[in-house]
Amino acid sequence: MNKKICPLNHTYVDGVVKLHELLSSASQEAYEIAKKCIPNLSDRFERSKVVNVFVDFSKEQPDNALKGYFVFDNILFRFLTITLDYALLFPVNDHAAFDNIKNKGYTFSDIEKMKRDRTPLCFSFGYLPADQGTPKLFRRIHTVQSSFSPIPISDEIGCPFTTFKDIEELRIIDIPQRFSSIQYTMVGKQHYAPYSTNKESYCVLYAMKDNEYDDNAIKVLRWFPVTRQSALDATFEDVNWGDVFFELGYISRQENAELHSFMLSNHSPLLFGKRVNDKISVIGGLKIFFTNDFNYPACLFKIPVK
Amino acid sequence: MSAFVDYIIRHSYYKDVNSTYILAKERHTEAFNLWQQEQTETIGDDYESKKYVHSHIKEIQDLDNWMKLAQKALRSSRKSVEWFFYGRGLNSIPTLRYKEYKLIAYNISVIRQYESYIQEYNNLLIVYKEAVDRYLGCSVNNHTFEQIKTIASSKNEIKRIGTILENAHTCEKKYPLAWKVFADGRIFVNIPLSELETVQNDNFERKETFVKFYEQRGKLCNVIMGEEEHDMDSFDKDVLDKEEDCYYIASVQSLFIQPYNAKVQIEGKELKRAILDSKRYGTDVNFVDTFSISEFYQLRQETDELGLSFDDVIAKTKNNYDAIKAFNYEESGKSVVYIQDYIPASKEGTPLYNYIETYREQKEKRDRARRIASNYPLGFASLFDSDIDFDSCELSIIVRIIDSEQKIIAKESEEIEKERKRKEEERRRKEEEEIREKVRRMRACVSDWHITRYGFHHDYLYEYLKTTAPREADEYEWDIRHLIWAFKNDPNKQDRQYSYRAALNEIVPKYERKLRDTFGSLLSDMTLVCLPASSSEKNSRRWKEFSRKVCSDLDMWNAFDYIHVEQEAVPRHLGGDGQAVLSFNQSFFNGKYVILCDDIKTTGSSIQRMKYKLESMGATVICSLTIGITVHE
Repeated sequence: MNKKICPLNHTYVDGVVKLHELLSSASQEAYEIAKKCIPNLSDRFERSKVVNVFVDFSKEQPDNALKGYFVFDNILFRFLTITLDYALLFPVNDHAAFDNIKNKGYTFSDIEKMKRDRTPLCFSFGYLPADQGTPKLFRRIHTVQSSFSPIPISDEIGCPFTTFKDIEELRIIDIPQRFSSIQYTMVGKQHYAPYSTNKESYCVLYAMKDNEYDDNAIKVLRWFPVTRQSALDATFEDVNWGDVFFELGYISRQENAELHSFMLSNHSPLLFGKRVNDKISVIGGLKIFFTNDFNYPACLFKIPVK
Repeated sequence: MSAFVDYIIRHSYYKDVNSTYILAKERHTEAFNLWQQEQTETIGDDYESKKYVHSHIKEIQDLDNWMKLAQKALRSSRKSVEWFFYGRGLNSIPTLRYKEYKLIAYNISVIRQYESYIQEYNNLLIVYKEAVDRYLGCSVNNHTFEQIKTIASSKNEIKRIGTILENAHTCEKKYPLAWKVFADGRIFVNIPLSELETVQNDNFERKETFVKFYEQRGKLCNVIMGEEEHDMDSFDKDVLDKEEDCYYIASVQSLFIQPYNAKVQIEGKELKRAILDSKRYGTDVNFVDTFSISEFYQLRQETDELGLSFDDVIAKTKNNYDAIKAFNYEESGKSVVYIQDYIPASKEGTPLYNYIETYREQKEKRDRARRIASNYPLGFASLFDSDIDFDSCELSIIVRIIDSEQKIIAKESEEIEKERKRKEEERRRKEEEEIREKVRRMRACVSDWHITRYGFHHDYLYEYLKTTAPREADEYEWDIRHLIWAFKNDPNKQDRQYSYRAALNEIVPKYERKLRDTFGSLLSDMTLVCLPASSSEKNSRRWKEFSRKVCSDLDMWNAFDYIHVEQEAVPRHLGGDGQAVLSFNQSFFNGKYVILCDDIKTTGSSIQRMKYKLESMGATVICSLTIGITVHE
């Protein structure tokens, strides 16, 4: 994919070729990052070279360009964004053979209509079958709606959250029964990772100190625990997705005050929990790592533990 | 007495006794003295004593060798000799006498063995003192001979212990924290060798790193490893592996996944070309910078709606620049093309599009009218005003021109034919004028020549006095007669005075000079016609060489080959008319300017006949120049 696009016997407009080159290199770069976060990501992208970009037309779009997110292996990566000129989507002529009949693309009017309709779409950029083996332009462009089949997005990863600058230390404490027995309500998923489809997951609760909207804000981060043995087996040069948290939402502000107060007063601003639908049960603080085989998340290594 | 007898009877023996004595005393002095002390008898200088020495010289020599061996052993390792006598119950080396020297000599191999033990012991002690102590289980400065032997015999074991200790000391220095854990408060010497044997550099390095890390982030280590109580003191493989994983995990730095924002965006003319999908934008067309990217997108939208490529739009606009300028001139008084004109120019139904179409149609008509005027200028000029301005004249005139195309073509043909004829007439007239002028000039050259009775100019080289003249010819006249007769070259009348060659040599230069002086450069346009003789043979003999020579020299046309004597002349006295039948190549003579030549002119009638004949074939006879002229007196 990093190869320079040099269509043989084709004379595309230089700007068209450049846009496609940029898409090619950017998608490869994004895929490398995605693979870092999710090591077991399939190699479908490497095999098919089809670039999927999700554009949420329900959100405000920039002028003369579209802002979207890369989709690999049907997973939407909220933190791998792409801004593309409209011109990338336009029908283009091979000025030697005039092949725009085969390569319809989308006109300015089509794109304007998409923006007016405000329906999220997934653009799929692929090569024509005849172009296999000889990198050329992404001349097969089509869109898939999220509700259509084949479903382009089966899950979504929110933005990675790995820095906890306001946490000076963590303490190993026991969580009182009153907290572990409550089911807290999570809100805001539709904002941070609306296409996240898993019903049950582990999560991290992060009691923020200086949230400008809510003094008692507790952030909910998606956590994919990795068992200790598999972590030790892995090569640590690559970040494992269990080592990184992804933004998912917040504890409802009606329920967060007491827990927030407890977490900060006990120097335990991070707690770990389990989410079923939008309900979260606290399973404990750092102490859980003494009682189960979860690998301690690498993004917390820099925080002193007392 | 004995000496005397031996001197007399056994003199050689006598000499041997004396020389042996001297040898023992001087060469083995020390051994001799020691041996002498061991003897019961007194050894003096007498012959009997000498004989005694002679008989025991072997003992003295052996003793001498033993002493040397013993002294060498003492020099190299006194301690090994000491060890030898220690084995025989002596605490030190006794005074060495004959018996002791003999003992040493006979046991020298044992002493040397001791010496090697001592050497090995010393070497080991230098390098592996600590290992030696560990081996013996005690630390002493002076070892017994038994210990020395044990140490020397256990060299490999001591070296092995030495290596273990060295490795342990290295770890002790290099990894003090790990060593502290390992030693658990014991000083080095108190750590059993069996424990020291387990010390491995790698393990200590891992433990050292972990202990350091643990001192800083002990709790974090516990959390990472998932256990609160960790056996820090253990150097077990499992423990070390866990610890290594722990600090390795903690040292991972590349954790922060930065959000990535790909920009599939370009700028400048490349973007504009991409938007328009146009190869021509930026080369054939450039819009002002204030024309924004949004407007380019708008332009693309409009071209898409038209179902055209922007390059088509460019082509359409460029091909109709004049029409668009004219349109804008009419609309706003400015003869320009605006960016906003590009789409309307290609969009059917717009005022500009209609204007362009009309303009184009009119232009085509005006161009067609211009082509008609250009292709048929004569026909056009005969029917229309030649100064008409096709671009600005009224369209009705243009339409009239197009409608009259056939008439113009027909008129053009007529005019061309007229012109052709006029030119032909003009050319012919010009040629005739040139001919007349040429003839006038040629004739002017001979204006001072004689005029024959027939009215044209004539001259000659010689006067020929007829043989029937009333008076006798003088010598000069005879000479001329002979010259002319020779020139005639009649095969039946060969002249005795001149040969034909001599006559030619005389006449030709004179003839050529006459013509050159008369006509000069005009000669190159003139033809020399020699009046043929009465027969073909005579004609050839007389004129062929003459005419060839004269024409060649004067660059004249030679007519000799174009007149043939078809039939020989029959003389009048034989009933003929005296004239040969000639044939002419008429095409040759047409247009030629002729000088006639004959041998003798008498009446001039022959010349006149030839003149008449040639002029009937289109030639112009200018004059005649003969070799001679008949005079009668």
